[in-house]
Amino acid sequence: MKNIVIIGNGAAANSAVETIRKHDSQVPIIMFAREDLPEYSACALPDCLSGRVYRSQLFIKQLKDYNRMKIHTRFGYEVQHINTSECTLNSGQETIAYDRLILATGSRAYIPPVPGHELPGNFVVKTVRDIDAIMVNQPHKVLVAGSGNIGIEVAEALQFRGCQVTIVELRERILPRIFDKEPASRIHKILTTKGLEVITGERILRISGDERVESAATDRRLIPCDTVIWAAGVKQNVEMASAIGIKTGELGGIQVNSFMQTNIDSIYACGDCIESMNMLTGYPSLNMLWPSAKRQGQVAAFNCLGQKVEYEGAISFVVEDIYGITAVSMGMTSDALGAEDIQILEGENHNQYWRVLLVDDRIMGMQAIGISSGLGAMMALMKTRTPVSQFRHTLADSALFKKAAWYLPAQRFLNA
Amino acid sequence: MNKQLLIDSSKCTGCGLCELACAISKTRQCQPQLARIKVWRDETRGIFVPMTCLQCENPPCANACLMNVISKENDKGLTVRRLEACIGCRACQVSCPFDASRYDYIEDVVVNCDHCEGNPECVKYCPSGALQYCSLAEAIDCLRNVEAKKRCIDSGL
Repeated sequence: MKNIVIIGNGAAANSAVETIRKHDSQVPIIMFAREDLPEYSACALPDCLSGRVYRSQLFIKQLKDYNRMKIHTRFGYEVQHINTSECTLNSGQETIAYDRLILATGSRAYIPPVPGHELPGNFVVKTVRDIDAIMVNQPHKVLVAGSGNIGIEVAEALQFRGCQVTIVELRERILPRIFDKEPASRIHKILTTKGLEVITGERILRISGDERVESAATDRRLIPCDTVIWAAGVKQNVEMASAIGIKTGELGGIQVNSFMQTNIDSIYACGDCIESMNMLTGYPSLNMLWPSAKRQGQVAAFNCLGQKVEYEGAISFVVEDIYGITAVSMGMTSDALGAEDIQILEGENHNQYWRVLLVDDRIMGMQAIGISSGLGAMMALMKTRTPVSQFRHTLADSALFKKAAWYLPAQRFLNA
Repeated sequence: MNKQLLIDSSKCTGCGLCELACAISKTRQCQPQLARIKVWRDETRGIFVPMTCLQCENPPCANACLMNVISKENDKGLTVRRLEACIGCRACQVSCPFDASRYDYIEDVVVNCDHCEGNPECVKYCPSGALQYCSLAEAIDCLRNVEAKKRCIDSGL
């Protein structure tokens, strides 16, 4: 009988246990997690902060669900040591033998080593406990450091709670990893008209205050604030993996093959802690998003059970709700594509804006603001690598078109 | 035998009754944009394609959902949602290749077709027979009849 041990309790780990239980109701599963909470949705944390989602709604599972699924949980314990030659691991309390080990250790929020970052009043938004801590602190004047998707969502959420919020971004534009310059400036405009102060191109030099945060200094100004929220990115938790000799890649994540196997036999890894292959380019990439983690968990679970399932690669896919306006980014940005010859199809219509990036007649990325219908078809065209010329040919021919009617929603984005 | 919602787009005239019937029965609002079914229209060429949730076997919406709201119902093969946990983030809507998830702005949730518990309202109102609710065996029979009729006409019988 196999014994499967999973380290982690996030999206990837839970998707893995669900997949295992769906196909094998008997195999013993042991789950280790640092937090003693059942699975919750990390993506909804900003919504909880704003008060639009109750704290209890965040939890996807209850502790009793793990019992029902016959999972032995070790929540609140950390794995101290893994012995790869004997296939055992030690949690300080007990030693457990495993046949398959799945690492889904995830990531943690990164706080840059700025002077004053350890003062009370500095927070991150990564776990439910962080949210609880922010609520207890009762912020009024908030500085959000970083303008990734978490940064923007948190800023909006805290403003909804009645705080005065300033966003400081190091790069020249907001949302630098997922949006190009033009759509980013449009989102910037939306944020400023709603009363957020957005500062770009400035570095936070220090956080000052006697007992707690009182102000933050950038290279150009001094911003008074009582709370600093760091949304400057995340770092993979790979320390345990590298300690036992699992290879990590240049980007800092665990290296896995397309079956989610690490370089050590019978150890698999999935979720935020790995480097996954980019579906569009084939290069390794860090894709630390919820849907990718879930899919990777599934793939790891299948391969643990002995069924060969190959991971098709990760694709970036972010949906932001900015004051009720849907902003979507999928695939790659112009920056990520680099020097390649990019053809850009842009369009706008009242409050809607879209931009499609084509390389070599294939869709490599799309960004849209104020649009939510028709993007799924674009996503499918991007994933299947359908040439745009073929798409247009199909649409022009009535007989062909009737057979591929799902192309129609994408038509308006791809008109030359 | 499980019944399926079958769409024959060649029979669709684009009248939009299915959209209205769905919106009224589900939300009590006479607004086609709230319907779980939508007719994609190309008026210039006269092509009308009703699109609704196709109940995919491995749904991309379930994978995209941030709250694990969406799951497959095992016995009927339907894609179902626990709407009380939905936060209306629209990730599923954007990930659906068929654009079949609909945002219900009244309830702030995203919904999909649930076959009206085995009695789809849209089928009752479809005047041209483009929408049918039948088992797979019936559907195959129907196709066979159509094909037979076509061959008879082709050979002059």
